[in-house]
Amino acid sequence: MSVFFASLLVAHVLFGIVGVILIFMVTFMLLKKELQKKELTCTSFGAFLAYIISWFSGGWYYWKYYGTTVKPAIMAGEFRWAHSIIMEVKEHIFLFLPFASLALALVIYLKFDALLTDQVFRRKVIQLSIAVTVLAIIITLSGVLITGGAR
Amino acid sequence: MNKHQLVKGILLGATMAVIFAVIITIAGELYKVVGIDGKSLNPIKDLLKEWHGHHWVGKGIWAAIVFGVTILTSYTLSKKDFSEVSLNKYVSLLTYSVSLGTILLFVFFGYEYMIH
Repeated sequence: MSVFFASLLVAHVLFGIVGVILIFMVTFMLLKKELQKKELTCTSFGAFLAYIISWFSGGWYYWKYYGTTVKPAIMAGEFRWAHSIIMEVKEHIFLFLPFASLALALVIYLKFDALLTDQVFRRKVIQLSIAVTVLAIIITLSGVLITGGAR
Repeated sequence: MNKHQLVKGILLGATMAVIFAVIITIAGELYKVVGIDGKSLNPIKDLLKEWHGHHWVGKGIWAAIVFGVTILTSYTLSKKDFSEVSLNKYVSLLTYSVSLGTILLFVFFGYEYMIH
């Protein structure tokens, strides 16, 4: 693997993990009694930004390297499911994760006052944040499985 | 700027992007035709590849277009007087679509793997 593709893969993994940590933090912040607008907004937009960087770096790697080099190796081995199920699901969840995390960040930023006063709205936003966090964890674990399948 | 309308549009846009990504993915896999040489072809995936270099890139670009167009349409067309209650529904709608979309993709690709 060239240095360029190795760097893309490292960026994809690193920023993906940063995104997971930040979205985890957003969920915990929303569960706390006292909400801090600046903290919540920065963390949620940080998660979105991390996903976008991970999206572009991972997308370029997937498009230009994975399909021609890694995928054939996995499909020739005994862990075919690592691509056929895990990678297929991962790449398509990754299509909508940034939109969901952007929506979450914008809702927090634009409707922060409602988060403080309306408990039902706050509960719904917490549920959305948990869903996005679970998605992020699924994607991270999928990445680990695919790496194992390739090895 | 009406924050209610904008937030509604963003939530609806993200929901539509999720639904679009799931539908185009499953339709792209299921819609197959046999070519002149007897090989199986995927017209949707092939078209996305032809337009954008890779079907995944194409799906991402079109999901972004769906997101943007839905926000614009919703913001300009929706009623001015909308309540907090309806906003709760849109947050739930996005949560459900994200959760169901993920389950659907797992079931679909798991099933595809088992039958092939």
